Amino acid sequence: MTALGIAGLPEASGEGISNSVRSIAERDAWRMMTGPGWRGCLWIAGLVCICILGVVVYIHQLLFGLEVTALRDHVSWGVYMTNFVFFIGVSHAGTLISAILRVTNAEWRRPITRMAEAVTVFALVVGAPMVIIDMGRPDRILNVIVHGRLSSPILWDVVSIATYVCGSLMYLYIAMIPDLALLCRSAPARSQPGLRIRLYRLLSLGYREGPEQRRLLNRALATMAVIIIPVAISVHTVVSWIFGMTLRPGWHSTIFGPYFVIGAIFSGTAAIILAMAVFRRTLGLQKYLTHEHFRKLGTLLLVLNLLYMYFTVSEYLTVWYGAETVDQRLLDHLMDRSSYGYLFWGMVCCGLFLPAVLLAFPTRQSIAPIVLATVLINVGMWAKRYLIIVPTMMTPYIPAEAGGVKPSYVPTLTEWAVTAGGFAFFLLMFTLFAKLFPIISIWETVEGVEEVGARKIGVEVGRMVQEARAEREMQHA
Amino acid sequence: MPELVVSFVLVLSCVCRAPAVSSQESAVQQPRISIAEGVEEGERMLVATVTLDSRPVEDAHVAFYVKRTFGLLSLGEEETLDDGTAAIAFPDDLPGGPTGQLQFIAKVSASEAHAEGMGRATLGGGLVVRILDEPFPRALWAPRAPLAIVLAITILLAGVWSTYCFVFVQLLGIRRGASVTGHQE
Repeated sequence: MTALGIAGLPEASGEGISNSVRSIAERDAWRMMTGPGWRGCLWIAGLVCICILGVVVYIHQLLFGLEVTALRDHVSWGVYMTNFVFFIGVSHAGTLISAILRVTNAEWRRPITRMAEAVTVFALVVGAPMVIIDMGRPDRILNVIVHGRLSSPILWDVVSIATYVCGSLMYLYIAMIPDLALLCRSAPARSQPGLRIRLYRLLSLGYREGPEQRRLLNRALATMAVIIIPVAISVHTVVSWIFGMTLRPGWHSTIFGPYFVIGAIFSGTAAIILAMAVFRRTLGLQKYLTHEHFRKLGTLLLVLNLLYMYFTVSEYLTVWYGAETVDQRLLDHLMDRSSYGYLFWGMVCCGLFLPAVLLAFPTRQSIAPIVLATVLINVGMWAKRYLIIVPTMMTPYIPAEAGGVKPSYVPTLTEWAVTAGGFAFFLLMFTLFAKLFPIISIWETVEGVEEVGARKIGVEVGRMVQEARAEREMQHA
Repeated sequence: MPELVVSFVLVLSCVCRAPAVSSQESAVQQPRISIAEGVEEGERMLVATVTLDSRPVEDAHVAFYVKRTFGLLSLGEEETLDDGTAAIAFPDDLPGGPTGQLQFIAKVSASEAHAEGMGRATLGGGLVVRILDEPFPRALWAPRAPLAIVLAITILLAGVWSTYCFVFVQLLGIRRGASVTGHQE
């Protein structure tokens, strides 16, 4: 084994390998961003169509009001708020993978930090406006600020999400500066379009890897990594407080803060593993995103899965034992043979237990079980957010039936179309980002290989060196 | 032409109906109701006197109310005696604003002898409500949040945003470093 931790390459010197890794990584960065191909174009076109459909349907909702949705007096929060809580949860991926692992010096994080940070930003961009979409009069949104009460968790939510969006954007951008500078330097040799080079030059801030610039960059990154963790935790805690500080069955709970934070990190980690699997396959990133990364993230996901199960049991068991009339009505809603009952037990079985089993027994040959678990977790967590919101709204303290009203909520096609538009926009942003910027943090990966060795980073450097050698031989030939 | 005929018939029918209505009104007159404060066996009472053509009305059903911010609060119901009075205990526990004045209303139901009627009177005797110097103190329920919350939020936000500013200054330093290096080159 060499200094870089590569087995089977006894003749390669450390410096030679480092150069090979650097050149291959740079080449791969450009390769990742090549044109999407016909399948990619089809994918993008499909996403654009769904986005347009979502926008058109939302304009219809604006013109005709919330009457076109199933939202009424009793159930005023439905699918839109479910999407909001879900996306804010997914946005925790960047914080966990990138910031927490950066602070704790987990070296294997390096190839996946960019993806995680991008998930955070895009999830926030889609999730935050869901609250406005849920409003009957979005033109009054400024009133939240103008007439806002500082003691209202809703105002805290607006402020904390705005702070988190700014922080996440800065964090994503700062970590991209060295890669942008690298692309800027190597672009002329690859005859890239001038507009793209100008964009990279503008965003790279003239970074040249000088010692002073490097010191400033490291300081900025370390500072952001530390500050973004409490900001992210505060965001989901505040989202939970919107529910927890309302005196309604199923919401007024002291453990909602940590319950939501763990749920957010859980679904965020699942989302990032899913994104890794998709990019690994579509962009051919097998040597950067190895089984090792999936195994480590899978283990982390299993721990979060068990924690979330613990919180879920704790939450419902105490409510069940309390047996207050209104809580009992809510539990009846959730656990009997109704649509909510099927959804609840489906979520418990397929969104919590089955993923735990899949993650507890990973195979060395395939990442498929882990990826399947992440799909189940994401669907299950969306359903869980729906089950937190809607059944409680159907169970007011004064039964609506006493007033001759039978509350019901079945999302309309309008709501599903806007939701589909939101998800499509999330995927579209991700796809376009991957075509405009390297989705793997090249400089961090190369630096990691040079500093601590390929084995700790988890990348297949041997394969990269062999590729570099084969490329050289081709050129000689 | 047909329109003219229809109009004529309508006007005629109205004219013919008018005396019938007025004769009904003259048959059942509206009683006059006055409200005053009185004392009966040492107890403070609210007394309504119902008269019809200055004569007391006996056995009239009187409902007493007091006006509150969002409607009428029922105080009780009583039948009038032969002197035309009906009395209930005076409510001594109702807030009456800064002057302690209460607006009482007595409604008489319609009967064969008279139509329904209503009388009003503003009397003292309500609890004097002191106007607070600060009706909305700093509280969770009030427009102004408690000082502890304001301070906590301000400190947290200032901490986070000043950190962002610090990071932004580092980025400016990177940019400045680039221009210095560029000049040297």
